[in-house]
Amino acid sequence: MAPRRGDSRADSRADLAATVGRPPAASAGTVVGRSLPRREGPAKLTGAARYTDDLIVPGAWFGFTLRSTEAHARLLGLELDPAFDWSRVVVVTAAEIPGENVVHLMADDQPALVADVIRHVAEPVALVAAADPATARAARDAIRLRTEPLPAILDPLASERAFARYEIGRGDVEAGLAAADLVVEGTYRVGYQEQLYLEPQAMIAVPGEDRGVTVHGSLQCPYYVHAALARALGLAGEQVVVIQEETGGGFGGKEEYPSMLAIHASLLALRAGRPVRIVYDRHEDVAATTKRHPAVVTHRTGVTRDGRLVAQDVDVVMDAGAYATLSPVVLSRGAIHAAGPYACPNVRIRARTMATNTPPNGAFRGFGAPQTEFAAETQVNRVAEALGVSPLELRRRWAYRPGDVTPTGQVLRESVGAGVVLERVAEAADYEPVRARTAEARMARATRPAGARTDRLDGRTAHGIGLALAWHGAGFTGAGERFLASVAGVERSADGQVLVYTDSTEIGQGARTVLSQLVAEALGVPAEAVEVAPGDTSVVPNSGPTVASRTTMVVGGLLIRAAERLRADVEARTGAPFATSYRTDAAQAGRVRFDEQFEGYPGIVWDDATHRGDAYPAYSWAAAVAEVDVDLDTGEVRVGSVVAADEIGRVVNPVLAAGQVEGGTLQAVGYATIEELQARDGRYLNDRLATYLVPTAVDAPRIEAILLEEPFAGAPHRAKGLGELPMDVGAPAVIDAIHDATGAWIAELPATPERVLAALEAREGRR
Amino acid sequence: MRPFSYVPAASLEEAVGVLARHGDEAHLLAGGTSFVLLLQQGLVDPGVVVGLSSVPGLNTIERDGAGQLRIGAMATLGRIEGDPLVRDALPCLSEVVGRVATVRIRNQATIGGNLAHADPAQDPPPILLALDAVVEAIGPSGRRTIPLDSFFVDVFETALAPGEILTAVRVAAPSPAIRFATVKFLPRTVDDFATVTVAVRIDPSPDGRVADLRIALGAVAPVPLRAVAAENAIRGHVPDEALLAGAAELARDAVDPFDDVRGSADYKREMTRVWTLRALRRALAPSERVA
Amino acid sequence: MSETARVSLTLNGEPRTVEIGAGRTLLDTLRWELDLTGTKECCAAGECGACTVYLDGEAVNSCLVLAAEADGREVTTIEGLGSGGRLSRLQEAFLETGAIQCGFCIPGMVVAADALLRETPRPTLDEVLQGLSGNLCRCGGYTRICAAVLRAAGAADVTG
Repeated sequence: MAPRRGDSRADSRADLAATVGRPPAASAGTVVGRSLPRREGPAKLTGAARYTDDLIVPGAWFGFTLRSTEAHARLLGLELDPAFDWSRVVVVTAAEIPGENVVHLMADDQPALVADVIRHVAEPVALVAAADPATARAARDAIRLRTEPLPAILDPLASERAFARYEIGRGDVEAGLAAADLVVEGTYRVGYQEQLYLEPQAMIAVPGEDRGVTVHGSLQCPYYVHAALARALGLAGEQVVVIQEETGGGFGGKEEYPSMLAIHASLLALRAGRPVRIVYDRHEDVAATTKRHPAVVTHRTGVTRDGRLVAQDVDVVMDAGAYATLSPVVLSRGAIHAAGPYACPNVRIRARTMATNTPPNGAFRGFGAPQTEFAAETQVNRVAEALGVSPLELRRRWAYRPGDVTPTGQVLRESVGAGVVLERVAEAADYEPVRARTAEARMARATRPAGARTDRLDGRTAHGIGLALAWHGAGFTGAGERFLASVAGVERSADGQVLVYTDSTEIGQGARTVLSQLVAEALGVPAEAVEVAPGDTSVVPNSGPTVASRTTMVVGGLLIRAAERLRADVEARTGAPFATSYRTDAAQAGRVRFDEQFEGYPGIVWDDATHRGDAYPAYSWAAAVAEVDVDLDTGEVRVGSVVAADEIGRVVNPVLAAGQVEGGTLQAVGYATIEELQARDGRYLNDRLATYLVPTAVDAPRIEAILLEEPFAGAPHRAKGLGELPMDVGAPAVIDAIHDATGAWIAELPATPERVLAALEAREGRR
Repeated sequence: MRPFSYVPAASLEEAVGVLARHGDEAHLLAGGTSFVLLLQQGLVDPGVVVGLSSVPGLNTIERDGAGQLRIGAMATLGRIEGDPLVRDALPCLSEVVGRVATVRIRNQATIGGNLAHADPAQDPPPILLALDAVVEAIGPSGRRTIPLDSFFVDVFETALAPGEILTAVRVAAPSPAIRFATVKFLPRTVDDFATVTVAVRIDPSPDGRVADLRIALGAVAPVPLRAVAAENAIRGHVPDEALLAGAAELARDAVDPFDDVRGSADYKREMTRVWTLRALRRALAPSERVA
Repeated sequence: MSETARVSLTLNGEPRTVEIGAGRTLLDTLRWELDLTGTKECCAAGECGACTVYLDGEAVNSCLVLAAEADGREVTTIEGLGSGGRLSRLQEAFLETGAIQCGFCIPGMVVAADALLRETPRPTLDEVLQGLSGNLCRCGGYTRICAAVLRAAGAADVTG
């Protein structure tokens, strides 16, 4: 049989124990730093946890969406089949939108329903609801769109309309390149990646008595949905309630798109005068919702003969799709990280995100950085090859240290973990010794006479090891956090409970558990004494969206400060420690709640207009070493192992943190090797789970997560962000390992067998 | 999907009768793993569905009087994988069905459904072609057998006549001297359809020549097919690497794959060559049987 | 012949009868007619395993089974595992190893793992991987899920 992935993995229980049982990072407090079990774990294990589609809503109708099939067209009208019995259904078009026909986010350019011009395939044009799914589907299928085709722009490089352009830099790039002994050029391409959260998009809208509406949904950002609903429905904020139900994964895919579903379900619910549920099936979800932005990144890197980095010129083009969604900020994060975590006196990063007639791309774990850091890391590895030095050694020389200055002019003052992640990952993965062996094997292959066959039944394979380093700014970019001015609070209720108030959502990452640990530690009580209020906008304040690796650092910090105030308040009254007195104090003092609002980290200055200053209050750092086996006759790549070291300030819950590293690494390995959404004429070709594949248990490499701590003084708990970081570093490590095995560079993700084989043939001059 | 009526057949005769009465309106249901997908995607739209799971004895695996293994159409792939008779007489078949999709699919999917569905990317047909299997069918005009060699007509099309039901697949147990090798090339995930599958059967002769052989390929043409020119190049010869390499090139030239997410047609042709060569080497490898 | 089917099955040990359209899947029937929503719909195409249930003691994708075909048979769902409101040893192990993230794959994963352990009470890591292959977890928790299954199988040393 064909060799299976995982063959190179030792099949032993001890091996697995080494991965899972690795002692967590130190610095455990009484509550913080301990691997407390996930709070909602038992409910998820027994099937008792209620995700949106699990809710029983009596009388609810089923809503469906009629979508465009053209990339660009004028919508002339809708024709309803007169043979269909329309009395059993409600239909909503753009004309019936009571507020503004817009999915409010940044540019407010995306309509909730097409009014006149279709700008991409799968764009929502009309909505239908009925008492049963079959009738609603039949009604949808009985509507015909009358359109007049318009020319479509499908290639971002051919597009003339940019949603955003930035130029970031310092020093003089042209002078730097002119002075360099060696200039390495490279162009890198990455395609679409689908979030593929296992729970498809789901929303239930329940009309209220005063034309208001309550929605229950699978979502990351309750107040994004809240604002979008008020705007589209023409309602006052207090008429709209958004409730996050248990959410089966997001990865950014439930950052902005749920606003679309909420508007749609609400329009139908208000029209029908009854609750309406919209739950996408997998096919619709993949075909219609946002993806990771495809990108083309070009580098020119100038170095001296003795290996100093003197100039980096980077050009980034991202394909935004038909509407702006979050593309300007995705591009901003991608651009700021595009030169990689390396000190360089002369840097220029030019970036643009272009409009095309394709479904809009949006947030996905890493938010622009995985694209640009794949390019940057592959470029650095190519420079190492050109200089004849080890990729590890080159990074030791170049990687940021405290005091270094980033392309935006930010001085990195503290918590710079680049060096420590590099050293720890190299040691744990035995990087240099393995690399020496693979080099020997490569040499032996190269000197073997042409046509000599190996004695292996399955022809030629090659083993390789690869390294990459990444940084990831924690929290919103630039002035984003100040602008958000998030609020979060802690309450001691009248009946003696401790309650956390935040709209930060649990989407699988462990927010519910981690935030209660932070509050418990601040109050000096066990974590079980702290409850988290439901994610309901009528109950919890706007703590900002659950995105950008910001929840633990930013919202966690606010909650600690609120908890400290609550503790001081109770202890001042009782003269006793909070833990022993808060329940009795409740009888006298009743409900006490303290809210904290974000006011900025000290010393952080940013100018949005020039993209200069302190882009993030802190950065997290990751290094990864991947080992692969490449079948030289088929191009098949098997990733056998990835060792990842992630430095995140302070580790609040080691098991949950390791879970983030393991999961992000696997998504990155998928991005590097198999996850490819192909498109033709603006339509995704493989928009089903049978054709867009993600790694299974057997395909997954052995992943070892190492957590490291370089405390961040700006946060009361010293923690930085983690969620996105592992996504930045896995893919370039895999590509470097393929190169180490074969000598061929793969400049386009994913490294499909066919691409790898083509690269091998180009290198060997075959055919 | 329009509403349909479901008829759990109590016997093959009843099933044949219902099919005859309803013609094109009627559809057979075996394990259902493909049928339910086709139903939900609107690719079949039956008025009547005839369930075969209720027909007694249709999942029996037995040795018949002639020493042939007879596998009932409703035997699940999981059952075939673990069946002692199959493991003993046809370990190569047990291996191949054990590689189909996931254990949950194998618990439900049947060999009859698998063959009658005639999806060219399915795993069992090439090894059954290499084994020179025949299928049994029953229809309005009685029972007949169809060699698997002439069973697959086109994508999703077989030699079964309208109203005919595949009831069993029959395989002669090969002598222990005969060697097999099967490969399933799965470069994306283990739960994907194959990019290419190859099944090779070698009947060696005592003088070192290949007395006879079969090379069957899947997922690289509208139907599973045999690489006849490649077989002819090897038959009667003492195999060496050059002979095998030449035959593998003939196999490559015999296929007609389509472009899809698993690769371009050109890539699949090249993979046909690579994996045919590997399968031939494995089948001819000395001593141990290579799985 | 009727376009509805009357289906009598033993569901989590209790006899139940439903009248449904003949085209309804077992997954739909569990979730919409029998109010057992622990079994999840993720792809409805047999690709993800989130809807895994026991049918006559064997794990199947309930999205690919017509409910009519379950007539007279035994179905066990995630709600039927564990006893008296307590977690099973396997479920405990999932909690202890941190194998759960978003949780949407977990009911199917637990049923698949339970089926694996019934068949192979002391599996090797490779047997666990094969048994769970195709039960997708996008949060990437396979390492911990496998550790949980091994721990439940008695390899108490695996999670340090």
